[in-house]
Amino acid sequence: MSTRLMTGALIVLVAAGAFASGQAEPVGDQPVTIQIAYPVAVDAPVAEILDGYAEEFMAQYPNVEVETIYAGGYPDVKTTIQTTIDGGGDAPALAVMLATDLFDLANAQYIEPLTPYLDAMDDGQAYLDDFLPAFLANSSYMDEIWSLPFQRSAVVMYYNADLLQQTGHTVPSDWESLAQTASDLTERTGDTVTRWGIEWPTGWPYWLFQPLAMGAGRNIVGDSDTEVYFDTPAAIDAIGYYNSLSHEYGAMPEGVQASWGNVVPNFVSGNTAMIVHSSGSLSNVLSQADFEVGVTGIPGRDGGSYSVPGGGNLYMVSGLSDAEKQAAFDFAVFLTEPARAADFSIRTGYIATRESAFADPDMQAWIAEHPQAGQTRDVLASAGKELAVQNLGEVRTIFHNYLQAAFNGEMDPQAAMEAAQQEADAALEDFR
Amino acid sequence: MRNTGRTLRATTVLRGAGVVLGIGIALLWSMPLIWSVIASLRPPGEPFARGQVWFGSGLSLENYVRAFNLAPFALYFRNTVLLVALILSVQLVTSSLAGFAFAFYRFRGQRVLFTVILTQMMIPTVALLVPNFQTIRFLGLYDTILAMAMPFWGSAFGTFLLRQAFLGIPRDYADAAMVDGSSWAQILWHVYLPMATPSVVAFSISSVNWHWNNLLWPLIISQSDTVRPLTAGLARFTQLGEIGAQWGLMSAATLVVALPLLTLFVIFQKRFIEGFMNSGLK
Repeated sequence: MSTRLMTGALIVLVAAGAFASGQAEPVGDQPVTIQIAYPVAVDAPVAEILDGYAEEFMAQYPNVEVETIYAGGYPDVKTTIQTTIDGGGDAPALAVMLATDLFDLANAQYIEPLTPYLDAMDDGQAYLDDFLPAFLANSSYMDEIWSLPFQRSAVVMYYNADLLQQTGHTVPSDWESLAQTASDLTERTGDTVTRWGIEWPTGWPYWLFQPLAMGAGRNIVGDSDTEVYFDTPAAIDAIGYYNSLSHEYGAMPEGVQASWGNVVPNFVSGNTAMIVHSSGSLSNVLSQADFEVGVTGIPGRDGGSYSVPGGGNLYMVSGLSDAEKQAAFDFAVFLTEPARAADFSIRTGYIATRESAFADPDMQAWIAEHPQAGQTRDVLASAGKELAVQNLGEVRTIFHNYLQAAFNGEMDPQAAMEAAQQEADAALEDFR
Repeated sequence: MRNTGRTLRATTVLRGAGVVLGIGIALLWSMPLIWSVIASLRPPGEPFARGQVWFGSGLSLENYVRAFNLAPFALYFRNTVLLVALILSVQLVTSSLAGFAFAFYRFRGQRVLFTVILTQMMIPTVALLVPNFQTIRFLGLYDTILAMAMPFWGSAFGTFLLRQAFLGIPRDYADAAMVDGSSWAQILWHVYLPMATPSVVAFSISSVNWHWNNLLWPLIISQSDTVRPLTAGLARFTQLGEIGAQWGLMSAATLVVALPLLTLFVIFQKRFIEGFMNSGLK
C-alpha cells in the first residue's frame, strides 16, 4: 500500500517537475529575493557574520536580495523548513542543516540536488574536489550531490601540552600509551579524584565513539546508506577499551559520562589532562586555558589518528523558481569561496571546509599564531564518515541505548552490540 | 491549665520546626535561581570546574553586557509583553464566555461539545504546527505578533477551569440577580466573575507563564527580529550544541528573560492568596 502510494506520489512529482521545467522563466534581470535559514551552534556572532556576507553578495549581484533568518538550533531549522513546506508557504531558499539529515530531507523531498548546478559550473568537479574529503562524505545520495559543507567541525582530543611535558610524557599515539598516560596523570587525594587523566563524554555517544571503533579497525558505518556495523570485533573491542580506561586504569570517570557541557571547563582549569570533544570548542579552549593546548585525533589501537566530522551543510530547499534556485546556488558557492571559508573559520572556530582556504594569507597568519587550528585540519586527513543512514533517528537511538548499556556494565559489550545490530537491521529493512 | 500550657508549648515547638523545614525547602527549591545569580556574576574568563562552581575572584557584569550585545533584548521584551497580553486578554473573554455558557445554561449537545473541547487538551501543540501555519498563511499574517498569538485564543484549559469555578457558585445568586432584572452579561460580570477571581488569576498565571516560555511556534511563524519574543533571544545561548555550555553567559541571559516574570509572580502571588481568602463561600 505504502509502496503504491509512494510510486503514485513520484509519478505526480515527476510530472509536476516536467511541467514546471517546461515553462521555465528566463533567469537574469528580474530581481530575486532569497532567504537563508541558519542555526547558531557555537559561541560566535554568526548572525552578524552572515549578514556581512549577504551584504557583500548583494553588492556583487545587484538583482538578488538576500535575507538571513536566524532559526534557533539545528532541530528548529529543520522543523521550520518542514512546517513551511508542508503548510504550503514559501520556505527559505537555503538552509544550514546537519550533514547527517541528508536522507530524511531528500526522501521527503524537502531539498533539491545540486548536481545540475555543479555540472553547469566551468570547473564544477574541481570545485567539489577542493572540499576536504571528510566533509563531503555526507553529501551524496542517489548519484547526486545535495549539500555543500559549511559550518563543520570534527571529533578531536585536546591535551594539556605543558602538563605532558612537565611529567615527561609524549603525545599518546596508540591505545596503550593513551591509557598509560591518562593513568599517570590522574591524581587522587584519598578517594577523591582531583585530576582525571581523560574525560570522554558519552551522553550522546555515537559521535565521540566512532573514532574509537575506527581505531580498532572498522567504522560503524560504510558507504551504503542501509548498512551499519555495530557487532564487529572493532566496535566490541572499542567498548572494552573505553571501559578499561576507568576499570583497569582508573583514569576516567566510570560508565556513561553525561558531561558534554562540563569537560571543557574541567580541561581549561587544569582539572582534567585530556578531553575528547568537538573542534568547535577550540576558540573557547584557547581563550580560557593558561597553558599550552595540543589538538590531535583519537589514537588507534596500533597507532594512527582517527576522527569523524560533524556540523552543518548548505542545502537548497525544494519548491523554488528557477531564478531563485540559481540565486540560491550562487550564494551558496559565494559562501564557500576560499577567502570566505577562511574568514568564517577564523571568526567562528569551525574548520575551514576547503583545501584552498588553508592557502589564504589570513588563514596562514592565523595558523601561525594558533597552530592548533592547523592541527584540527591534520586530524581531518584521516577522518571517516559520520554515522548517517536511512531512518537515522531510530537507528541512532538503538545504537545509543545498547552502547550506553555496555558502558554502564548492564550488558556485555558483545551481547549489546549483537542486539543493536539485529534491531538496527530490522529498522533498515524497509529501505534495502 | 497545665495541659493547655503543654499544648501551647508543643504547638510553638511544632510551629518552629515547621518554619525551619519551610525555610529549608524554600532554599532547596530556589537553589537553581541562587546559583544562576552567582554564576552570571562570575568573570567570564574563569571557567567552572569541579569544586569551583560558586564565586570567582570577583563580581563582574561582563556576562550581562555580552548577553545584551548578542541579542536585542529590549525589542524582544516589548514583543513578549505584547504577545502575552494579546493572548491572555482574548483568552479571558473567550474562556469566561464559554465557561459561563456551559455552567449556566442547559442545551442540546452540551456534554458532547464539552467533551470535544476537553479532547483538545490532549492534542500536543507540535501536531498542529502545519495546520496552524496554513491558517496563518491564508490570513496573510506570517511574521507578525498576531500570528504568534492567534492559535491560542481559544483555550480548552481556561474553559474547563472557569466552568468548574462557575459551577461551584450557588445558583441562588444568579437567580436573585435575574429577579432583579439582570441580563446574562450582567450576571456574568457582576456575580460570576468576581466570585471566580482565584480561578481567573490561576488561569492567567499559567497562561502567561506558558506563552512567555514558548519558543517553537514563534520561531517558525516569524523571521524578523522586530517581532520575535524573548525566548528567541535566549535560544541563542542555550542551543550552542557544538561547544560546552557557557554557564555564566547562559545564566545571565536566562535571568534577563526570567526576571520580569519572576517579579510579576511575586506580586501576583499575593493577589492569588488574597483571592482565595476573599472567595468567601463554603
